[in-house]
Amino acid sequence: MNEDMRNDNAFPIAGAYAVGRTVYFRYPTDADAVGAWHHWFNSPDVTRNLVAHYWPNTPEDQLAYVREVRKSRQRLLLSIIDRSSGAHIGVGSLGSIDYVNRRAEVSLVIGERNYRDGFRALECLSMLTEIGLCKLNLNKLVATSLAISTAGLQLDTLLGYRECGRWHEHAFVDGKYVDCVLLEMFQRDWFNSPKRPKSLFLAD
Amino acid sequence: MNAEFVALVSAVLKVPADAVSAELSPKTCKSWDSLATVNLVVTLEQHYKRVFSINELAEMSSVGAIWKLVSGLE
Repeated sequence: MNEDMRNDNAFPIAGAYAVGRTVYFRYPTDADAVGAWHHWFNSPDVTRNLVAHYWPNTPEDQLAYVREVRKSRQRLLLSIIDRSSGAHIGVGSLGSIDYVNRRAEVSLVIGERNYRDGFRALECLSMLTEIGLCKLNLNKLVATSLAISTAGLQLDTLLGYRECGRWHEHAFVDGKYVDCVLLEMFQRDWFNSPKRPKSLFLAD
Repeated sequence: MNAEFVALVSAVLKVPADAVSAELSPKTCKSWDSLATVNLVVTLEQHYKRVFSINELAEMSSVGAIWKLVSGLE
């Protein structure tokens, strides 16, 4: 049995870490890294609204990153799988996890264009928030979004993330500097939010 | 689907009212991207004075599915 076959008998979906209605999360595999994933971070329509990722991304780079992160307890990196097609459509993470001050940074990329309908992103962000604030018992999650990324900002806001600050002229996009908006979600607010999933295993 | 609902969807998705059908979805509507989805949810929540749960949002895969949810609120 190779590494990518681990947890095949896990309930309710093989290898699943969390299951929503349209997507599920599982640990990232080597096959994920050298598959579509490394292409996403070469694609201008994915990287345009990301603060980093200026260099070309190779399968070797992606594989090295995944293998490194899998050993880390400061970053929880998860592959996003579409439940209906089984396709690997993106990645989500909780990064810079600080177990003393109980906070982390949440990030999400839906790499596959056909799945960027907003509904999957909403569910993914909701699941990541639940993992951070409930499963990991963090007090606060922070999200960052370029001010020009209207969809990203509104998506965060719809889930209840609140703007708490702004880095001015933080990124250079299409020939000009743009602001980066900081948003936060506290555990106490999330626990009372109607956008909170009822369970991290909605396998129905 | 009633005229009020069709008008809301038509305005957010920027499609003619007569193009709003139960089958309309992000897969079949070019203007229905992630921003349109967020705008649609916000518009519906404000109009119907109801906050949708994340489970309800995940079921909004088409206009028909959204209408099924919304019509239950009226």
